[in-house]
Amino acid sequence: MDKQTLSQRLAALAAEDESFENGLRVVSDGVALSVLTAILTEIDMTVLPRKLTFQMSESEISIVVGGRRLRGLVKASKDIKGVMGVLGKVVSRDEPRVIEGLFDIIGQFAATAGQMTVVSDDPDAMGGQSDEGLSAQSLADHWDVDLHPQPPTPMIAFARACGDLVSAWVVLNDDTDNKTGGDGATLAVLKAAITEKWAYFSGSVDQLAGESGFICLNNALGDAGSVAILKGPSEAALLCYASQNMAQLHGQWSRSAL
Amino acid sequence: MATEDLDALFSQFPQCKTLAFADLSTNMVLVTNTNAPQQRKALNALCADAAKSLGKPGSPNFGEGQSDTALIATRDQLTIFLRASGEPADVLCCVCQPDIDVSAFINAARPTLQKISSGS
Repeated sequence: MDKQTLSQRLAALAAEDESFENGLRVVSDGVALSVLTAILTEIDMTVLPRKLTFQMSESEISIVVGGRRLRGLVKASKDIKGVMGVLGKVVSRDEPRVIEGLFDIIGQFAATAGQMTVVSDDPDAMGGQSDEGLSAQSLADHWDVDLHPQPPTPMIAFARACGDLVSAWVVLNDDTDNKTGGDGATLAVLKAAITEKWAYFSGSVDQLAGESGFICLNNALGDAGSVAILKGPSEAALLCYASQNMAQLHGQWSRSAL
Repeated sequence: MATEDLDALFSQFPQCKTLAFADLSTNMVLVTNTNAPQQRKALNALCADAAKSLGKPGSPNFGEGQSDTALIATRDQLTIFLRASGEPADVLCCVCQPDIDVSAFINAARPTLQKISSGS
């Protein structure tokens, strides 16, 4: 085992709140924290010059970072297109093509499904003390990314945790914008039902479930399937599911703290 | 006969407390299992809950489809409503403890409902 591998495994053992895959630190599961936000967060946390190599499935990109700034892209796997105008170029406000090219490259990388890991090495290019590059916050502003997203509410976390049991979902919240997820066509049917009938039906939900409860209506959406309603004090979630999964979905709710 | 059918289903599931066969077109519970603890007022409320969740025949309360099964769970109680195929006003209302095996219960309850609904 070389020093690099050993240090990675020791870091994995020392960490309490982080997850690891084969000794590599997982910085995004692709769902709770977006890949782009996770990369910007890593840039924002890196003070000393480092080469950060992000890996997801078979795709890989390496960037050099220092002083909480992104200096540039130094490597990308062959599946990623359009790297020629970006590779080895210093990221700068004076080079908008490099910034946009990098955004496109990260977009291609983020399209690869799965969890993303990161490895930190000494840089072999663009290293040394320098104030070159752009800060994570500047990039976030440029790319219109929220660098400090709110953690998911309990209902959103539940909907995501249901995985394949739920084909589409909407979380209705008293205080913030509604959140949605899942298959677009099914989601459109669910949204239409909410627009048409939720204002009236929510009164029945309150009477049936009280302050906190769970309701399933098999085949309520016709061809689009069935609807489950999770009722909480300040949120409600509507989940689309296949009727044969009703008991399993109820079991998931029973085991939750909602 | 219907009471015997409900009692037979009741005996298979100790977590089940009440089984009531109701008619949504008249909002009336027509028959219950022998040992059902609910009084008439509570049974009427149970029938009203069936209408609120499943919807009246041809008039779904949410979505465009006519639900044949509704499940309402709180931490203390599980209520299941089943609608008969062919007679959408006929429903079976089931009040259970939360830990009942939902799949097994529904698989047993639906034939009972169909039998009562068809009068066979």
